Amino acid sequence: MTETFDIVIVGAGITGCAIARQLARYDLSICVVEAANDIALGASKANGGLVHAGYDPAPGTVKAQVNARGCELYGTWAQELGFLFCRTGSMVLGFNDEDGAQLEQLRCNGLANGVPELSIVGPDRIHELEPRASADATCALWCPSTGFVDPFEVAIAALENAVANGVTFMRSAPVEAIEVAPGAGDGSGDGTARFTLVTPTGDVRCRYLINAAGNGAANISHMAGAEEFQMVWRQGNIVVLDKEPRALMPLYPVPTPVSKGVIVTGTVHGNTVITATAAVRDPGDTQTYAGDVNALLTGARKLVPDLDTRRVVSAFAGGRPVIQGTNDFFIGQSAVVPGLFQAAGIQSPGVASAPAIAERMEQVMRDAGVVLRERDDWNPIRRAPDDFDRAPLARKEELIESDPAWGQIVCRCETVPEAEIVAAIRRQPGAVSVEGVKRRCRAGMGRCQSGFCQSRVVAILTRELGCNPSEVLLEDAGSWLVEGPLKGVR
Amino acid sequence: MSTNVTETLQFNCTTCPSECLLTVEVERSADGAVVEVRSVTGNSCPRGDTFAHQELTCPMRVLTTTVAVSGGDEALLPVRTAEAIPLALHAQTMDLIRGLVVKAPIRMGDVVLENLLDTNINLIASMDIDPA
Amino acid sequence: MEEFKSSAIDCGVVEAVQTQAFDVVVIGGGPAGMAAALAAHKAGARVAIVEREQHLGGILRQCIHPGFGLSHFKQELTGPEYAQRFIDQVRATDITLFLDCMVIGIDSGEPTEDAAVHTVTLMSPASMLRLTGRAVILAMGCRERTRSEIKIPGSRPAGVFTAGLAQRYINIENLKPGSRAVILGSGDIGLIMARRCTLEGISVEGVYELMPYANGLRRNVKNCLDDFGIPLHLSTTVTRVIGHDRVEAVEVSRVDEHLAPIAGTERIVPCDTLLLSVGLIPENELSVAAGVELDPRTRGAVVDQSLQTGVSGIFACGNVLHVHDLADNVTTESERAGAAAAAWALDGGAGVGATGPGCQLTVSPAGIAGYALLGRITAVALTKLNFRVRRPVDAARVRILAGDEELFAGKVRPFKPSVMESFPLPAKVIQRALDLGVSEIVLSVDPVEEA
Repeated sequence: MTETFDIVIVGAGITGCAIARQLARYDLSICVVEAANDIALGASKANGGLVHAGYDPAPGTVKAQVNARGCELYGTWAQELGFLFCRTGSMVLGFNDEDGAQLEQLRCNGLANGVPELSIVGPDRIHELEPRASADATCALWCPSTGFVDPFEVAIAALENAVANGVTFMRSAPVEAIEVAPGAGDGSGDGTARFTLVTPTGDVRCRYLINAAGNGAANISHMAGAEEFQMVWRQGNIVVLDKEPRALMPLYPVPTPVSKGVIVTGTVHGNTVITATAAVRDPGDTQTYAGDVNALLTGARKLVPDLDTRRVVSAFAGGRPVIQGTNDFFIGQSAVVPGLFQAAGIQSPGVASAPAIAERMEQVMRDAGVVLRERDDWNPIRRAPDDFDRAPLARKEELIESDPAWGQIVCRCETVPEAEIVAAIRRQPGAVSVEGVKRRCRAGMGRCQSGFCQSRVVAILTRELGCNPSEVLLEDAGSWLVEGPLKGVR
Repeated sequence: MSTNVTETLQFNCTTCPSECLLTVEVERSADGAVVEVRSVTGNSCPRGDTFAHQELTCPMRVLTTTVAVSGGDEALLPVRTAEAIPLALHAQTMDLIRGLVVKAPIRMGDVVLENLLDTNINLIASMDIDPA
Repeated sequence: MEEFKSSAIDCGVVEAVQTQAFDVVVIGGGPAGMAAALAAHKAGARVAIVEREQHLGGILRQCIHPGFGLSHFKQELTGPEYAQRFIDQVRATDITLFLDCMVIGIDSGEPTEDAAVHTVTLMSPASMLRLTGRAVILAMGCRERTRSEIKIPGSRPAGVFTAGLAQRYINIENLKPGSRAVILGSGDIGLIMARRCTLEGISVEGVYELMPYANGLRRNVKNCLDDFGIPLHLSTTVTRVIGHDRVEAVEVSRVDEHLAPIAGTERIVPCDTLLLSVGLIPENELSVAAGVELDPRTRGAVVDQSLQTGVSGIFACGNVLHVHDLADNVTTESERAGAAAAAWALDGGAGVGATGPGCQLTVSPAGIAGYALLGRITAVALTKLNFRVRRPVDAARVRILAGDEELFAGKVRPFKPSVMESFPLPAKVIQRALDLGVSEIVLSVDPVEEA
């Protein structure tokens, strides 16, 4: 059976999830179609989590318009959606007069883009703001509105909230073809579905189609017969270091024309992230490279000389979805296929911009004549799951009393009890893989990288999903972890 | 007429943690069979000499593995051969016990299989397993 | 209106967390914890063991291979047998066991005199608990170094396991982690897993070792690789993991004398599993949170002759202190820690090492010694020092130096990194250092030219 929706959003990355959450307040049936088996498995996964303030994009670009606004919206989004957000402020460190001139340029950019409270500071203030910043820094752009989030948590929280408000999530449904029925596609017609999306999990039909497919956006646009463009896989390696007593303030070098350079930042969980290299590589290449990792560690030590770069917890890579020929986002209704809305080329600063991209998409649709009628039962609040490690002692005690599984610690590095893992699997949309569990509750994310807890997480997934251990996946299809039993079988 | 060859081998004695490096002169027939262990040097005690002779004729090893458990608080019971058995029998033993299931409770030392492959050596439990 | 963050809600009304008092609280129920607890109990202390698993025994439960007990029990046992003997001994005492319990913090209260009582907070499936003790023994063991720590480039598919995790799947969970494995690292765990995989029908394509020598014990190279014809490739490492969803192959490369991969020597080895046996790291997060100072070389606590850390009343032993190669050595060391902790708890430390205010020496490694344990000497007594060399040498000697003066020189002999060495430091050497007025002595292992 083919289900029909008012809107189908292709892509459950941070962009698609934010748009779903934004539109869920209206009286529309919405489906998010995702090629992978979970949320945020593309560019949103391999991301440093920085909520850049918005002084970087060239004034007048779409990026410039959504970045500062997105950064501003994060405060409300974090509160409503119950995800962790630290607005620590940041500094771009300059080491000489030439850098100083560039910082001034950035400050002017920022002012034009609406970034609040930017100022150039000297060595004393640098040291006061971040004592671990390099003593060689002579000047810095101090930007109080910068912050950081856990990008998967944002995407998951947004989609959980959308689903709680009636949005359908279809996973493991890569779009193989899009059939477009002729017509104006402005919603003014008889209300029949204009688009049919063919996927191996089933077909879906809709009146409006939103392309938030990240690195797959060019392909979706092509399949719909809309704008032709090419994606460039601007690959970045990222390194995560072990926890520090205090999370570092984001420290940036002076940017280069293609990237913000190697940035060092704390994370919401107290780790340190070094992000990211930028090199054009083959599409889909998520390999880490020795040269990139070394460049990250070297770059980071330049900003934070006392950084213990031996304490690497994880290194990974992803591709920024860049549209060839432009460095800008493409957000708007297709000029070729009305009814198709594009949110393409959402590379950096995609995470920072996500709430504003969603806001802008809503406006674009409204302008295109899509009827957006507010529902009276919309609930903007998503209750965060209990995070045992962060819970105060009294709450811990209460949780254990409610269910002994809260006292059964499975992941020792991040102090994650069994009950938290079970909750991660049972939430909607829930985790279906070992990595999905990790992204939701951090089991396996710590310094031992699941060496102690992986087999236990596999056992819990086996029980909760009602499958055999050999069917449990690390991540997406094909990523089997173990074969069947060795003993007691013939 | 075939002639015997003498070769010199070096390997470590594994009888004790000293792990003496033994140098062994061995005479083999043309088909490779050991005719005579001519000399053993490098050992710091007589056990090294015994070990070298055994190693060249029929290397013996303790086999350790697991067998499936039913009704226990662990899925597997670690087991061992009570004494070393010929290394050549290890693969066959693994095949023999793959389908075996023992019932909990089990105590360390309990015999899991008697007289393994007619070696006169038992397969025994390495650990206690309590009922689930 | 719902609350935004349930985790931030403090419910206020909570019954007081239950507290139980002991003399010595041992954290960890593996070989170190059990030996320490038994020794403390024997010395008359009321002892508790906190263990996060449902069974005592620690990692020995999955080390089903033989090679244990040769020095302690004078017979060769398997890991589970070695553990079971201690479990039986512990069960025969009134040592209180807190199984399935994880310690979340150690509070040392006010350091008033030496009467401070430590409070250990732990979680159990039943409730939170607090245990108090004048002495706490850290015996949490170690963890395995991960792929990320050694920075193997490439993709991140399923099928890359630390050797210990694969060992758990095979020996405890009854699951097969793959069919065709490559093992990186020739430490004992890597070697033992090569044999274990082979016996269980997982073909081992080879063991690869970055260094120009095998890192494990000779017996393990012989019994685990040679017996099965598994090749050992020295001075070779994995330079890339290949495969999107599951490991499909690894790229291996030869390395030069600086351990850097040599371009042009890359070779693709098809496999579905990569096992990493690339080192162990003491798990000291709890210790650090309790204020214990670590030695950056061992990544374990800096301890004195009674194995007491820098925090009075907190002792450390076993792999949480420094990585051992033989469980028997863990037992011996832990028995010392247990006895010292009991003495501290019962006599207020009077009996511990006859600490004199005049004796404060630090011990540092030099030459090819990678570390020196103990870090601190506080008593003039025959003292056991442990060390490990960083590379194998055929001829070297241990020297004890104080400033420019050589206080002691050992006999020339070979040393191997795979062996944790033990060296008895005579009391008169310590006295001599004190007479010289130095604050530090150096344990140096220096290669000598062979005649």
